[in-house]
Order: sequence, then C-alpha cells, then structure tokens
Amino acid sequence: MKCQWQHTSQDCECKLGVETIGEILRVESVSVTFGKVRAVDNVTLEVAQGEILAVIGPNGAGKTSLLNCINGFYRPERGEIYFENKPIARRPRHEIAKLGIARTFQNINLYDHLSTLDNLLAGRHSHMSTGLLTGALFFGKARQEEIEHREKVEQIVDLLDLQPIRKTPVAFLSYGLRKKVELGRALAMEPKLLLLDEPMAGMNVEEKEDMARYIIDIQELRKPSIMLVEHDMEVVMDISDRVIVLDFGHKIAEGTPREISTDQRVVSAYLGEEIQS
Amino acid sequence: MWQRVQILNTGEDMMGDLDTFPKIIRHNYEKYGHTKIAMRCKRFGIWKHITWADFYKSMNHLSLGLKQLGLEWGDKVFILGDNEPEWLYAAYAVQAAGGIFVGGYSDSTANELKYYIEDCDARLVFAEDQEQVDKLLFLKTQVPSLQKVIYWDPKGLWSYQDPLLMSMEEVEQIGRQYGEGHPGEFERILEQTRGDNVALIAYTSGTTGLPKGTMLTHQGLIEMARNLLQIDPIYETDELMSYIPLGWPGDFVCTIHRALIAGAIVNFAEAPDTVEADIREIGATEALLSPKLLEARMKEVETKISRATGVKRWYYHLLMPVGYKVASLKLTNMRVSLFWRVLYGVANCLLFRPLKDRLGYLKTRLIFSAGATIAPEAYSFYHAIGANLKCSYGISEGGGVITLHRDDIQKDSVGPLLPNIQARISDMGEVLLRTPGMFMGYYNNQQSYNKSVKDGWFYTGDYGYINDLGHLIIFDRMTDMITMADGTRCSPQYIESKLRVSPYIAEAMVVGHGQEYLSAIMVIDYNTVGRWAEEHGFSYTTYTDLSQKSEIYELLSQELKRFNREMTPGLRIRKFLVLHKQLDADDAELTRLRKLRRHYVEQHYTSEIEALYTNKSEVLAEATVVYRDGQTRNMIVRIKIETVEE
Repeated sequence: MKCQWQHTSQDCECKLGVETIGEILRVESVSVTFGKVRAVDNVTLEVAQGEILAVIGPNGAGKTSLLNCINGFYRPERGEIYFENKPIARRPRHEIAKLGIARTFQNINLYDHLSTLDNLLAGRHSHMSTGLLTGALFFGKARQEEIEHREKVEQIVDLLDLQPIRKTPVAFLSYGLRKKVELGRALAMEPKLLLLDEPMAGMNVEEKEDMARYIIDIQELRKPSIMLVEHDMEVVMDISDRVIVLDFGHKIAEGTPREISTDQRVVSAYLGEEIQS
Repeated sequence: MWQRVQILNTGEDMMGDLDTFPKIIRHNYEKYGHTKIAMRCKRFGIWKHITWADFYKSMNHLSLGLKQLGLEWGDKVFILGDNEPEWLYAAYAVQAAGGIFVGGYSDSTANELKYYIEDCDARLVFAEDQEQVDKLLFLKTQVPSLQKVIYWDPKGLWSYQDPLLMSMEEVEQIGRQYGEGHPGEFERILEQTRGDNVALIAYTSGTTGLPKGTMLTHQGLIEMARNLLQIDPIYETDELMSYIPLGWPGDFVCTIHRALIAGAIVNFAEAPDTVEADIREIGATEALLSPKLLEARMKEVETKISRATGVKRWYYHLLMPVGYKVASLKLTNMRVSLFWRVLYGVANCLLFRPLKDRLGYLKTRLIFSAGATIAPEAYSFYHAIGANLKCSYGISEGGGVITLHRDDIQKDSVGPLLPNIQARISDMGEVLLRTPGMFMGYYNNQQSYNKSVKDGWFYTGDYGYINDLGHLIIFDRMTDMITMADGTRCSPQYIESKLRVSPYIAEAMVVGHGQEYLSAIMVIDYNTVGRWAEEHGFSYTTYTDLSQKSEIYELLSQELKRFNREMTPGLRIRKFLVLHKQLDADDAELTRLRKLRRHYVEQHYTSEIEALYTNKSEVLAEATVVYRDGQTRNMIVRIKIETVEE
C-alpha cells in the first residue's frame, strides 16, 4: 500500500501515514505571465488535508505569485484551482476568503492604528452576520455576537501569547510581534487552508524558533492545512511534511524534506553547480 | 458583603489545631465555601474566580492522586512554573499528603534544574508547560530518579507521548475516583500533618556559592505570618497580587501565607509581561515589589515626562517639589504646616493621584520593598506622590519577614523588629537572629547548618547595627563590604543603588577592596542610552558597539560627576568602565531574582578590574558575538577605562 505521495508504508515520512484523507486544494497547470516574464509556468500541485506544505525557491521563482493566484489576487491565464473540489480561480477574493482560505503577507498588511484585538476582530469579519444598524446600536444579537467573536479572538491571543499587547496599536509593535499579529488575524478567520508568505523573514534565531513552534501548535490544535513560502531551509526541513521547489516559475521537485535536501536539481538551484574535478 | 474585619493576630480561636497550611485551607473552605473568592486569575482576558470550595476540592483530589502515584510521607516534590493557581494547588496538595514542596524558577536552565532536583531528591516534578517539560525531558536520562512530570498547561504538548508525562487533570481524576471509593480518606491524611513537619524547602539565591535548601516548618511559617499580621493587618476584602517567582519564599511569607490566614484574595497576573497592567486592574491593596522594579518605574516616569509636551513637563516640575518638600518633612518627623498641607492637597488632586493611578498604586495601602537596598531617591519619589512605601528585611533561614518600617520612618533603616523576634550584633558587626520561624536546617547539608547556627542564633552574614530607636540598619553582606587601603569601610550595594538612579545605568558594580579609591563597572540601559544616541545623532550597531562609544563614556562621566558631588570624598568613584555585554542570569552573573553575583563577576572580570587600578586607558576582552542567523564568532573588544575628573 502506498500513501498519496507514493511512499510505501515502511518508508512513509508523511506524518499523515499511509491513509491520507484526500486533498483540500488542487492547483492544475496554472500559468501567470507579466509581460514576457512567466511568473508561474504550468504548475500543478495538491495540498492534503492537515498537512504543512512548504514552497521554496530562489527569489523571483514565483512563490508569492502562486499564493496570489490561490487567494484570488491574480487571475491565472491558464489552468484551474480547486478548493474542496470547487473551482475558485476566477472567483472574487472575499468569496475565496469566505470559503476558508486565509493568508499572511511578506510585508505585513495590518490596520496600523487599530489595536491587536481590533486587528484580530477584523479577521472575524467573514463570520459576522449582524447588520449595520444593529451593529452600530450594539443592540440585540449584535451584542451576543460580539461576545462570541471576542471569545474566539481571546483563544488566539492565548495561543500566540499576545496578552501583553492586546490593547497596543500595532503601529507601535516590533516587526516580530506584528508578524505574530498578522498570523493571528489570519487564524481568526478559522481557515481550512492557511497561506503563509515568509512568516520568518527578518526575524532573529529566537523569534524564528518561536514562530516555528506557533505554526506547529496551530497545526496540532486547529488542524488547518498550511501552505508556507519560506527562505529559511532549516525551518522548512524541520516543520513541513512535504516540500515543493519552484525555479523560474517551474516546479522542479517535490517530496519529503529529506528527499528534497538530497535532490540534485534543488542543490544546484540553491547552491549552483558543483565543479567537476 | 464581606466586612472589612480585621483578623486579629492574637486570634487563638482561629489557630489552635490549625497548625498546617492545608488545615487552614480546609478551615476557610468550611467557613466560606462557595461564597467567597480565594484566588483570581486571568484566563482568555477575563478574571476568573476561584472560591475556597474550588481551592479545597482541587487540593483534595490532587493530593489523593499524588498518593496514588506513590507519594510517600516526607517526599520532596519540585514545582516549576510561573505564579498561577495551579502552582498553589500543587504546593498544598503535596503538603496535605505529607510531602514537602520545593519551588523552582521557570527561567532556570536545564543544568540548574538538574542541581535542584538532585539536591532535594525529588521524584515527582510539577511543570507548567511545554517549555518546562522540554527541559525536564532533556534531563530524563541524566536524572534517572525522576518518576513523573506533571504539567498543567497542555498547550503544545498535544503530541507528546513520553510515559514520564502526565497532566494535572489526569492526576486529579485519579484522586477523585479514589476519593469516591474511600470517603473520609483525605480528611484522615490531612489530620496526620503536624505543625512541626517541614512545609517547604526554599533554596537560597546562591549569591555566594551553590544554593542551599532551607527547610521551614508549618508552625514556624504560620507564627511568622501572624507576627507580620500584628504589625500590618490585612482584611478579608483585601486584594493581593502574587507574581514574584515562588521559588523565592518572599511571596509566600508576605502574600500567600497571610492571605490564607486572613482569608484575603490572591490575584495572579495573566502573563509575566502583564503584571503592571494587572496590578492596576485589580487595584492591589498591598504590593511586594523589588527595589529594582520600583527604581525602574520611577525612571520610567521621569523619562516619559522628559518626552512629554512642554505644558506637561512644566506642570510636573512645578508640582513635584511640593511632594518632595512634604515627604521630607514627614520622613524627618517634622510638623507639616497648614500652608504645605493645602498646597499638597492641590498637587495631590492635580498630579499625585493621577500618577499613582497610572502606576496602579491608587488603592495600595502599603508597598513593601524587600530583597535589597533601595535608592534613597526612589524612596523619596514614592513618598512624594503619597505612596506608602516601607522597607522590610526578611531572610529565608529566619522564616520570613524580620523587620518592617512603621510610621516613624528612618530612611536608611529597614525598620524595627517584628514582635517575638530577637536580634543582636556580633563583635564583627554581623546581624544574629532568633525567630519563631527559624529553619530546621539545610537539606542534606549539616555542615553549613553548623557553621551558620550557634547557640540558637542564626548568623545572617549581613553587616549592620541596631540604632537607639531599635531600628535595624543593614549595610551589605559581610563578605561584600569593601575595606579600602586607608581603612574606610563601605557598602557597595548602597553606592550601586545610588548609581542606578541614573536613567542611563542599568547595573553597576563597585569595586575597590584594599585599594586607594573606588571604581565602578557599569552596564548601560540599552533602551534609554540607545534612544539618547539616536537623539544626539550618532549610530550604533549592537550593544557592544554602543557601550564603547566615547560619547557614552562622556555621558556617564557627567552622571558620575553629579553623583560624586553628593558623596563624601572617600566614597567617590574615580574610574569606571562600561562592560561590553549586559549581565545575564544564564551566564551566572545574576541570580534568578536578578541580584548581582558579585564574587562570580569579580572572578570573571579579573583583568578588567585590575586594569581599573593601573594607568591603562583600555583593556582587551573576549566577546562572543551572535549574529541574526545564529552563528557565533569570538571577537576581541577594547574596553575603555575612563577617569572621572574632580
């Protein structure tokens, strides 16, 4: 018997074991071009339920463009993206978010003047149903709903240890903390699929370790599928179940962290050709 | 609903057969049940109430559970974690089952934990969360006697499957089931506990050597708490705050034990970084704070004011002198004239009350400052704004608080002795004590006990004297006192506390034993000095780089000149250097309560200290630089030496 990544049960390294529970996202032959540049070139991949999939590759390999296609920022010219077997490639962004795809950004997009709490509550937007009037008057159901959302947000505050900065406007926070708040806001959407764009960029070793811990905790506690773009190979090898390598918009390799770290094409894409003696 | 009833300390009615802490908890449970709050903690942003009934039930189940896990009479159990209700459940469940608890510091490294756990022979360990559990699992093979690690915060531990681990919930579950099958069993074992049993082992901070485990009895600790209650009564309605690491017995003797006896409420901060905000939210009626924290908060106020708008600055500088004037009159026991009283009233409404509110001390009747010498400037500041700051002196081996300021405050003293405590001064100037809560000995270390206790007197190792009014004055540790070449003796701790008043100085260590003059090793405050550098338009890369800038040396020279003007000529600092790194508890330079480990630092920086007494203008030191990617490199740093001009 083989798992969906074609590993036999003896050497299966996927944490999911042999009986994986199908895929949540399928990207089929997707291509995006900007002028003459092929940012994403005929990429096909799947994300399984509950797995952590890392997408790596050099600068300009098309990693962020790929995420942008998935959450609706870009419209792919060719190909289709299926989320829970529904095509989403041509849907508007807010609908995609509502289906359960949340993301963070490489260069943090938060509401600077709002507090951490309010930023997290903003992440609950797609779950709010109160109308403008009842919301404004804070009347009837609106009040009840606000309490429920605050409870959900507090669970995230607890998970990510944001207690000391609950009421601090995020503009005053350090870079590392803002990254954490952004992750929190994405989580507040209770996504089924979480897209993380370089969650560890610009952090020092300790902050990176903490962030890796949070990602693992999130995965264990809330079981979303996570697709992350990251430069730091060490982190990628530590926390991901599977790795996909992009180079110039192409997918050049796919496999477990161990397979990838010994793959000749990956080594050459990252370190250059070895000189033959 | 609850009256502000003063619990009289003479209360024989309460004590009598209540000779252990678990029995007191049962007494409170019977008295208050579900109707009164025993503790409060903040969970998911909301203060959660824990009644005496909840407290008792948790202690009961956990205690039976521990028995089922094999806890024997007199067994030591190590508890590791931040201050939380679960910490106390564990502590009193252990005591109820006839065990002894030993508190640790949650920021200890695995190696330090190994020492404590092996030294106290603990087989069971309570650990708060994943961070602590990871350290203990790392020690698993090195400490084979470890039988169970019981955690209470499961976050991040969901996938851990080590058989050593167990959750507190599971242990309670085992206890609950056992209790249902054996009604009356818990009461039976609770009755067996006696006042002369060892209640806890508290490790000394290890400023001079390896930490030693001080054994304290129930009866002794209860007596000491009642002593303190006589002088400083607390009420059932009082809100106390527990946040100082419970590995140090200070929080037990000042806060928790008194709260148990008086039935007051103990509040726990949400996270270590939210303590100040939580004190303010709760409106604590009494607070135990370290001098360093008090000094830091004063500096914070002054720094913030210096950055505020012109109007606010003017306003602050206009009204503060009124506070200082009235405080100095009161502190010297002089009469405050009507004129000053009216002026103070106005200043109080306009500045002092709002400031106290911001600091969270509006409802605080008493702020204890304990653990070290507080800078006189900080002392005056808090009295000026009307906060009732009192110094206190306590010692683990004595079983708790020994002295406390009353209303006749003398700035330099730590106050008169509490009732039932005897003190005298040895020929060498050492403070000797005899208290009702004296320790039973150091665990597994009879030799040290024999050295420090003679004829029933405990030799504290502190250098001090008792003045005519019966106030105790402590200078420093005997071994830390500096005797200069001309025979002048001085207390480095006192001078350092005065140096730390400068907003730019985070730490200072004064040296000069056997020398002609005093010198200081400085550690700058990275935040304030960093901001100062930015404002004055020069750049720096790291702490090491910043610390050796000539502008910073110039800045500190100015600070020291001002300092020297206030000191008598013999006690002036002639030379100083700024250390290339911050002192760190992980490097054993500070204790876990952030006290300076003077002898260690002296040994570690011998060449730097020697250079302060030569004509050298710099000294080379080796430093390890850690890059952002985690790589380290050893570098040579040139540490400048500066002479302060007269």
